[in-house]
Amino acid sequence: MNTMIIETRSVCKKYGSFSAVSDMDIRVRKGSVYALIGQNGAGKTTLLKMLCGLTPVTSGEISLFGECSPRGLEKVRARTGAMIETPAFLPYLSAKDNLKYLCIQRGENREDSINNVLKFVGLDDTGKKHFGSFSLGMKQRLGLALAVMDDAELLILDEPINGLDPMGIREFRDIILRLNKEKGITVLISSHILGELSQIATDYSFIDHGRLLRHDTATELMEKCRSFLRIDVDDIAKASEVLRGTLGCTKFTCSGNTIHMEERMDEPEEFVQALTKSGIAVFQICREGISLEQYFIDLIKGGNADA
Amino acid sequence: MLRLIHADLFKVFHRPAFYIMLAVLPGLAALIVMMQQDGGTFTEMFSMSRFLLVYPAALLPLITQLTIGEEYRERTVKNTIEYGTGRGLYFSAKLISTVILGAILTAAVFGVYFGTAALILPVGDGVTGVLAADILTRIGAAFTVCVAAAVMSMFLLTVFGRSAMAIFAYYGILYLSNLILVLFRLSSLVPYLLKTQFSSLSGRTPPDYGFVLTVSAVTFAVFFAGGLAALRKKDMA
Repeated sequence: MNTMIIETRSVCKKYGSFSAVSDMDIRVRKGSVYALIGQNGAGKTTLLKMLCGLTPVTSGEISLFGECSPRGLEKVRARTGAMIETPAFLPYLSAKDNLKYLCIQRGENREDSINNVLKFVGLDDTGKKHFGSFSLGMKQRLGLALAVMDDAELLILDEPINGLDPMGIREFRDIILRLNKEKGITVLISSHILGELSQIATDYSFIDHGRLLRHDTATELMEKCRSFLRIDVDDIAKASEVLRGTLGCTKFTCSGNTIHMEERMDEPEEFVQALTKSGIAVFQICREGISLEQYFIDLIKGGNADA
Repeated sequence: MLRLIHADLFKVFHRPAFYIMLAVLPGLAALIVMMQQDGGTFTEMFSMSRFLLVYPAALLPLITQLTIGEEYRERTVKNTIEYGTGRGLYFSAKLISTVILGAILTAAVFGVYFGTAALILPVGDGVTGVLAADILTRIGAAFTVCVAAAVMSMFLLTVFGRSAMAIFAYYGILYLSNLILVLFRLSSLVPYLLKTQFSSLSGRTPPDYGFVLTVSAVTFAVFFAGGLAALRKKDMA
């Protein structure tokens, strides 16, 4: 069932005459991992801050769990865990006391749930060490601990892997995947590190200068970013017959004197051998395709990302 | 609301700064009493306690720093707001926490002041019912002026964000505004200042309590509304 957890309708945020977010429409399905991709200053954080109620919306409408009234939004935000920009906690309290402080605020002062969540993010052995002396990775983990502490149904994470080392990034990714798969938590995550998002996201929205450029599902994006073997020949009709008849290939397309081969891409010498044996001249054979990065850059530049 | 206040007290009771204040301020009160050992009496010290009423307002920025100032400075306020806590509720809870902590410190200061005086000074003429009623009424009235000053301090912290600037502005408004008003030939407004209320409360003759309460209430309403408006517009991350 496609229940929408988040819907924004023509949401705008202006700071004076500067539009940080313009006419933003996004729809986040329940159970999805929705990636917001954009350069620094694209408007990702501003959008997430509006969703979390940290900054007022200039115009437009936000709906969370079907609620869009200010009072309703305040109520359902208790079902949301968020980590916007760098995690902020009181520097003179330990990880446990910081969570306890927020638990008291939220009326959920359960010692066991604090211990469980600290264990879940690997901070159960920090003891009385103050938050002020935590490493960036530990601070990020505590931020995630707070986000997931109240059995949140929706996680809003703003560049959560910034500043983490490769090991930390991997652990963080695994935690998010576990939360999504095992607990069915919907995740809205922003980043400009595309490689990382591509390993977890089910939906992608590309934004630039505060505007939504495109939305793709993971399948659509994979389709657009697939790679192929480009084979330039002198006789396209004869070449396609050879590929079909001799090599049994079916997944290829022809245009002009170029063939785009989408199977057996690790065997270019086989193709060259078979074609030259049949008297076909092969001018060029190379692997081509559009990477996720290239797709994003093309979108930003207004290029033809569908090519 | 109660949960937010409870959490605030949990936080502040984990701060060494609070315990330092709790030790130093009553210590100063005890010192004042000890300096009167040559000829001073408990009755005189009781009567002079009205001069102490000026000091809580001077210390309020220290308390608002502990409750709301550090939340802005450390940006931890976002943890509360993104959970769906209304900004009005947040501001009100912080105000009540400030008042509770202020009351604890004031009680400690007055407790040590009167206790030390009772222990080390002779009784003197004795505290009459009239004198006791006068001092207690003054303390009650000073409490309302202090609440208005606390809201002003919270408003300034919300507007400026930077603690140093807010503290500077607070002391400027509280202690220099009468001079500024005179400079701009607006001396007719001086009676409506908080500083004037504190001066009248520590004066020899009993002040017009109705006027003190009205000025406190109006100041409170203006800065509370201003603080809420500023907080509603504030970017939290």
